[in-house]
Amino acid sequence: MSEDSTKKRMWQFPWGYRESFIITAGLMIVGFFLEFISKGSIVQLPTWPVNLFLLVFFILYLIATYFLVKGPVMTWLSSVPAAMAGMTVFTFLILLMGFIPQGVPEGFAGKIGLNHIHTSKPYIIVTIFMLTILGYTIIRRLKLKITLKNIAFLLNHIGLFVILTAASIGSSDMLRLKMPVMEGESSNIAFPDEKHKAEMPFSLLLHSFTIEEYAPELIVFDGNSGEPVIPKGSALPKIETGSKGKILDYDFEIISFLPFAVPSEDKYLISEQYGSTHAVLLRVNTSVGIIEDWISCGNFMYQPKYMILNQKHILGMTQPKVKRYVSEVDITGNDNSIQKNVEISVNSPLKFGQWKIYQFSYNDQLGRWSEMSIFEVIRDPWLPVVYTGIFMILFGSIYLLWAGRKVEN
Amino acid sequence: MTWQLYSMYIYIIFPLWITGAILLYFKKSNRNVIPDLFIITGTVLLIAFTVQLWMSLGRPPFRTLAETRLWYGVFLSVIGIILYYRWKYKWMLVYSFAMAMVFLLLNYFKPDTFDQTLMPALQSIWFVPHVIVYILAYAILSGATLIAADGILALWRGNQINQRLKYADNLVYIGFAFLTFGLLFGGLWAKEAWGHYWTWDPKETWALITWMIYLLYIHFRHRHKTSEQLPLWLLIIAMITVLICWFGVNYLAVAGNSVHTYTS
Repeated sequence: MSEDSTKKRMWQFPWGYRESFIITAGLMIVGFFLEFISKGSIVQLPTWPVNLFLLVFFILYLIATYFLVKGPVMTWLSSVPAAMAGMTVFTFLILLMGFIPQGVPEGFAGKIGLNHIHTSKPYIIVTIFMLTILGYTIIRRLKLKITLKNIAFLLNHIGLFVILTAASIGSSDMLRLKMPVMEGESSNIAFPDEKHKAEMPFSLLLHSFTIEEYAPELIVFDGNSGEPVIPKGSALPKIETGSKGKILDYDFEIISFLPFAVPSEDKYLISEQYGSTHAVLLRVNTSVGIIEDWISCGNFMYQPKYMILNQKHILGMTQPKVKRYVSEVDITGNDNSIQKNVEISVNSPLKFGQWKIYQFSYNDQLGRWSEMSIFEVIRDPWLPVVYTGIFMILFGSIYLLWAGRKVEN
Repeated sequence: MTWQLYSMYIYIIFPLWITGAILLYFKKSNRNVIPDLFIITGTVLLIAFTVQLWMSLGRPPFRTLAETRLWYGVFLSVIGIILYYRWKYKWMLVYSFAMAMVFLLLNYFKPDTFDQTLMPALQSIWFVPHVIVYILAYAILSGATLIAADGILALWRGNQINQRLKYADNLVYIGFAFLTFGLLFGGLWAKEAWGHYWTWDPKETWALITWMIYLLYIHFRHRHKTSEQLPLWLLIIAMITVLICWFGVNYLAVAGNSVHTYTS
């Protein structure tokens, strides 16, 4: 691969690809061995402020050694072969992660960390090695004069350094808890896991929890197997009062769609009482004649109801899919600061001081009748640092777009 | 019912493209624009179908795999045309159209169920930019892979390929920038939707693998401007990881609870 590595003897400086790959792969193997003898115990990263000290120490160490220690090993540590070896072995570890299910305990694979790679010792060691090379490369480049190319280089490389360090070392400071609140009630209790609970520095009063749904759809099932029969490329007809259409070869007409209905003898009545379901009265033209009857998708309270079209086919309706779910809350901090009537929904969390409050879930057994909203509350003090890295790379990549256009023909 | 119109569009677009490509090969003068017209009309029709699908779905058509394949077909044919006009590479145009046709044919034989719903997590301003930059990146990087395949053949025949690698560099730089945008947009979106920017979801893992391999290519090319075999093969391997990331993840043992499985 490299011209210089073929001419010189192994381990003779300057080190090329062979030495780089042997050293990096060696580090990885040592990591797997350490993982094995420590019986797969997870490395606990230190929390604030020790992690900050560690990070500052690491950066100062890189700067100091860069300027004070001279010699071929230092040159090697900011060379392309070392960087390539670091990246290749790192990619190899993520490839393992891409093929081996993570989090599943499994015999030998588990013992050497293969089922929890991103917290395993080989991963941590290789990442530190890669960060070292990245760090030296950045310092060396900082000495060069300011050109657009160098600025882009620094944005990309420093951005990556910032993301990798802040995301890993900052993960120990991140708090994620689940916080269920009942409608009409107020709570400041959240759960980091199933066994523990914690008091939050704020309380949430849930005014209302609402679910918006898409219209349910008609669906035909095979009379024998019970499997849905859906011709590829076609849509399931939406259920709306007054709509007419065709499903498979059957013409149908929706006479009445009740989004809130309760069964009463052989029909359905409009009712918004707790637990009411969806029902539809429709007319279907089958080979044996016209059938007019109710069907319903049912829910936790009421059985579904189907229409037997003939020996081959049964008509039913799908459960309506959830379009949006929203909690309306008041949030009160320990210092009595308050935000009233704020909406929290998926993709629009609420920021409150250091915390962000996400709409997480609800009682999905009960669906739209759920009186409980589950929030996820997250505190991630290192996030601004990670975002700084992300935006550095975004700007650095804009240069790549421009440079890509410019590469010599 | 737009997916049902799809076959009709295909019956018109494919003959236009194929006739255009054949005419292009026999084209003598640069003034003869008839082949170009055939090809461009085909692409315009494909874009028209995509717009129509978008309008009839009432949501951006980026949710299902078939929808992403459609966009890939659109971008790849547009990129083929751009590459042709820029470098007068007839084979690039023909290859990229052939590849676009393969993906569009997949949709023809395996059409999607037409589904207008969009789950809450996907209802975000990040949805369109995140998917579009990724598919654009894939289409551009496919261009680089086509050049690599051509380069491997040329090497085997004992021809010079350095110029081809420079074209590939061009595409990889641009494609990699879009790949980076896709990855980072995904992170910013995930923070808003799921509370964390990175969760080692299988799709994320594979997106990172893909990104790393193109990163290796860029670093290798930066240092070794004369090496030929390795960068060519890296581009082929990179495309394999792109395909695993795009389609393959769903079939791997790790797929589990990925938030990125697009089946309905």
